[in-house]
Amino acid sequence: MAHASRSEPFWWSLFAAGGVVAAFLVPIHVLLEGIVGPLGGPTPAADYDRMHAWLASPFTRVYLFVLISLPLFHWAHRFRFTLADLGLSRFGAWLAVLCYGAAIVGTALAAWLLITAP
Amino acid sequence: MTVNSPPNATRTYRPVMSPTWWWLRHPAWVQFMLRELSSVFIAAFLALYLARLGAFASGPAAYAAFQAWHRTPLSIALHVLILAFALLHSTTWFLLTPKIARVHVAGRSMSEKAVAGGALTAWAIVSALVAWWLLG
Repeated sequence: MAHASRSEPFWWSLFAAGGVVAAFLVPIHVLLEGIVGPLGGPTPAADYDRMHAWLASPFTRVYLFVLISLPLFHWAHRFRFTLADLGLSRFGAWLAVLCYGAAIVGTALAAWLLITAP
Repeated sequence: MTVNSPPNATRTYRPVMSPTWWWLRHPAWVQFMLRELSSVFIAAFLALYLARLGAFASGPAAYAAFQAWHRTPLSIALHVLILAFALLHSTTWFLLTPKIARVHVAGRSMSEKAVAGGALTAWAIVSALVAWWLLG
């Protein structure tokens, strides 16, 4: 049921854009903010005051929105077809709604958190 | 149809491969599945980033608690695993780039090696710039 539809090129371009963003940016963020920072490295995410100063710049907020949103659509597109490949293809339409829906919710949450962040 | 069937042949279809674990039967399929699953680990990191922004919005105490969890061995191990899958995504993505995009420079088509090399170099430069921005 994971058939091509008229919306397919739209989701594919979000998948490709998210793949590029994830490929360029995610490894260095995981390394610095998930490993080096917690082990004592000086990253903006290391404490509240540095994070506050970092997020004061509108550039940071737009950057983080792109970093979070586009790769979520990359995940949604890949995971949808991975689940179909793992034997769930009869639920294809539901998988599409669940995966893209989760990416849309994550994007809305990112926008809200970044707009309202102190 | 029944002419050539043995006398006791059953007509029930039996799939030769498990619909869930078929990819374990060939190294290339395992590689394919790991690449596809890299997106799950990247999404987990993005979900953690949303949680980070949520903790930040809740104030200094909540953010300190969030950072304290990041210093646990469980979190470090999880991030090492996420990093491994993120690196798998980046390398496979950039090595596949020349197969889907023809790049022309000065009217000449660049070789696949040159395009992949250029993409990997650009990745290193972008990573260095982000590191300089975050640590500077």
